[in-house]
Amino acid sequence: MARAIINVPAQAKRGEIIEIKTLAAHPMETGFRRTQLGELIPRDIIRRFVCTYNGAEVFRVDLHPAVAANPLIAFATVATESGTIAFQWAGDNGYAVTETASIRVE
Amino acid sequence: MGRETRSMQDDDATNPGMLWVLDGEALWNRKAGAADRACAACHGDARTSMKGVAARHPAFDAAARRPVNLEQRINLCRSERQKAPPLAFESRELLALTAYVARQSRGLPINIAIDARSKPFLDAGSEAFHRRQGQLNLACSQCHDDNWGKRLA
Repeated sequence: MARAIINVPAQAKRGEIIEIKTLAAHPMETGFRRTQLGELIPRDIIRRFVCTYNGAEVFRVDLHPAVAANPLIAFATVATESGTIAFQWAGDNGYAVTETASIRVE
Repeated sequence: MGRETRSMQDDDATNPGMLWVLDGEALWNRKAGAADRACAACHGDARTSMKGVAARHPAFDAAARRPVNLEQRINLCRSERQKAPPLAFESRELLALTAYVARQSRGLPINIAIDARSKPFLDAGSEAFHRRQGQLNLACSQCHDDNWGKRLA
């Protein structure tokens, strides 16, 4: 099943600011909702998102229950060199997703 | 829908509905049921075979003798052709398949057949659309025909 949609430009000029958009499939259950019978639905959220560019961390997010389902995380970074941009999501109940994208920098 | 809202909707990178479209694509190619066939086994590549399909649904189904919408059409294929249990309405799988099939009609105008078979159902729908009902004694047409483009408050 689709775990995340990532959008990284395929190529960029050296020093150019690029915009990266990520969309993770996750219910982001806050832990405050109740079922029709009154039972509390336990918290199940993504807690951390990390983006690494050729191994070096360039962006990090700590998420909290206020973030809605299927969180869209969009940010900008500087295109320094060609290589791999990796995205890691970690959350409750052992949720761990990794996606990568390649970028060519001239 | 306003131009900015529509461009947000059309941006595949940020529209969460795309997650369901991608799931639907995976389900399209997955074998299912006692017949052990995927949708792709009969319909091939949805990008060509499903073009225009969502635009002409609800369509009259001769066997059922009534119109069926896209979800019902998918379930008919599942039970009759794939020999698989029908998917529950609003389940992730059915939403995903419907989103994927409907996606192939993106940009196409609605193209429902208006003929002798579908006319009684269309007339009944029109009558319900214009009938006042409920606690506020409102008909659908009063907001959606007479006051489209405006806001409630």
